[in-house]
Amino acid sequence: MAEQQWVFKRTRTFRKKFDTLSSDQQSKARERFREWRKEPFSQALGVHKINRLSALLRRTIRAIHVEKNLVVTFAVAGKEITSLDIGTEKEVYG
Amino acid sequence: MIEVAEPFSSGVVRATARPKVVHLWRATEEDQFSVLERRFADWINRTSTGEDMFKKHVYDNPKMNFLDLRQHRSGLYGLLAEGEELAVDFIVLKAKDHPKKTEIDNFVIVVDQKLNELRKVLYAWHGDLDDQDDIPQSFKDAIHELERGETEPLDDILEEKTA
Repeated sequence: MAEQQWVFKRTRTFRKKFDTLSSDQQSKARERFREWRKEPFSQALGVHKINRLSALLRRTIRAIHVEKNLVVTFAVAGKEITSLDIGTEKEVYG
Repeated sequence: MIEVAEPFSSGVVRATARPKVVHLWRATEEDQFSVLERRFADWINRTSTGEDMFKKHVYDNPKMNFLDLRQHRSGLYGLLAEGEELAVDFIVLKAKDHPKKTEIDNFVIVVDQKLNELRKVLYAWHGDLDDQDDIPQSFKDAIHELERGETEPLDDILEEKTA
């Protein structure tokens, strides 16, 4: 999938949570996002569905790993990929 | 024994048909308590089978889709309805002065416990997002922003330099 096919967006909540990360985590996240823009559903990024959140919302919610215990949840609608939240699995999924 | 005014076998009712006597041996010879006991055991088995199916097709299924979710709801509704009917039938039997009142009460307690578990699953997977106590507020807020179309490009984050 070509990079320009997808429009990457974020919520304000995502921005707020991103700003609370350490500079090392922010740096890793940016690096990950650049890879993500090239291939949004690459298995190398550990893209996975969050079944319970998808069931509750009746729309597919996915996540990628930035590092071992730092995940980004996102939703896809048409060509838009919106980052919803970022944090540890506990902080993001509950 | 029950007398019926129509022919026992199916088919055209003849004008000359005589009343026949039918022996409903199952209903009359088996105690209602035993019938409910058997229904209870069958229901518990079905909830157990259901839980295995839910785990396979919903909870641990990386390719779960919305038809799986519909079947999950359908399975839960069925088990809930069946359990509630079972509880009603136990309570009605007790009200008819059945001698096994204590046993009936104990069955109803177990049915209610299982019904509570099933309701919790239904609620946790198919309830309202805002009512879920274990889902972080930040995720709920993000979803509401998304629903209101309050999203911004991710580029600002990508273009920034880490401090």
